[in-house]
Amino acid sequence: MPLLKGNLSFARFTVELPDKSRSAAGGANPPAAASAKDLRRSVPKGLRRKAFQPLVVDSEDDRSAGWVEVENSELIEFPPERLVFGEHFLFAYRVDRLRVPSSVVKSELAAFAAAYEEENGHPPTRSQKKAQKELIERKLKRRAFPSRKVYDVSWNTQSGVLAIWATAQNTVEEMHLFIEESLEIRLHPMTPGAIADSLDLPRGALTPTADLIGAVLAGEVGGE
Amino acid sequence: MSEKKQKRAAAAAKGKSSAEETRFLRGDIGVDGERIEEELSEEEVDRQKAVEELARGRTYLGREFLTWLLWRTNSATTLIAVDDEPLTGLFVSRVTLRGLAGDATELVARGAGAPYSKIVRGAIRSGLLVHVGRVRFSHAERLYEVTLDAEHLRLRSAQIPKVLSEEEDDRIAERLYLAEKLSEIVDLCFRAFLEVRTSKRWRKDVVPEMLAWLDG
Repeated sequence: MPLLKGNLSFARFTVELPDKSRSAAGGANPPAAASAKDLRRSVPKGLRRKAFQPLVVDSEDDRSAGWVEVENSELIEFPPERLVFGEHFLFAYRVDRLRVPSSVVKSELAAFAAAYEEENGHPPTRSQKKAQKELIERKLKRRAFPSRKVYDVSWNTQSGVLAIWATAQNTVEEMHLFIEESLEIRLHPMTPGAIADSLDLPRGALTPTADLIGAVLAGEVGGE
Repeated sequence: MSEKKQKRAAAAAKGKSSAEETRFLRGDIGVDGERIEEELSEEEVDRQKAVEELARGRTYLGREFLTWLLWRTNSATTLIAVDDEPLTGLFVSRVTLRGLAGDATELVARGAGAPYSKIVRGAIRSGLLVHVGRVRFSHAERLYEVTLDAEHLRLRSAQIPKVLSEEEDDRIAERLYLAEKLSEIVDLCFRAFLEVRTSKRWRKDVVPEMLAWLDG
């Protein structure tokens, strides 16, 4: 768990609270304490609503994802003492996945096709093979052990910066959407362009520097 | 024309129109039978990719920032003051340059002094800018190391000073504090860059000085 040990990798976002929290806390720029109090009620509620649910044997799903507690990925209660650390909310996103090796499916399917042909004098039809493949996959899934990945999230309510402790683009994008959906907040990635925009710099002051990136590219990118 | 020849010509015409129809349905040609889009050469595809990559989220700003940081850290002087303490930085190990320089769109240089090497400076002079670099920051007798990318400005594989607290909760708090301090350092450097970048000094003094260093 990167929050607790090892090298750190994270993507940063600024948090935009919904209007509801703003008005509940008293206006467009609420005092931090009032806002935090409001969040202490809404955040655990949102996390519990989208908490991690283990994969069920015999179900169609081979992937399950949801929120777990940061210090123990088996727990999904989110009491304040395990969710709030000073000015931070800490929680984690757990993804369990059942993977059946395709080579095993292929070889079992080939054995079925050979046995079928011997018994019936002709190979199985495409739909028979498809149905058999599903049966084989379901059978193998029961024996498979799910892989587990856990990614931490830290939200500093004082600075309004949320960090997703992952950097793989698809993981960050998936978690970004899941956080917005669970907690009903908006996240804005802290990219160079977004930081520059937030500073309200004069329009046109940040066109590409032709002497550095080359006049042709600067012209094309500048006219984006 | 004999009946046989007429039949052959009609069949050929039918075949041709059916092939044209297929190409039209595929979107290869328009209603006039002309090709819609010329196939792009490999160089043109690379160039378009380079332009798209630079424009996406204004990645060029991140590249100019990392390239400016490389130039600033070359002199081993104080970059900025953070909490009234001087901050210094040094690019270490691997550096990735991207852009468009002739046929090259990416260059990766490895080695202890690679980021400041003549070959890297020459590539930057040709139009490739720093896209990913690993920077070691020194602040208040503490060392931080982090890999930064120009597009997202994410902090990757960061090393922070050793955590001294013993209690589990205190350790988490200390690690968070140090991670956020590093994040603040990166932000402050970027803001310092933006301050210079939006001033008249950028084109008048800073860029010419950077170019002179790259040529040196």
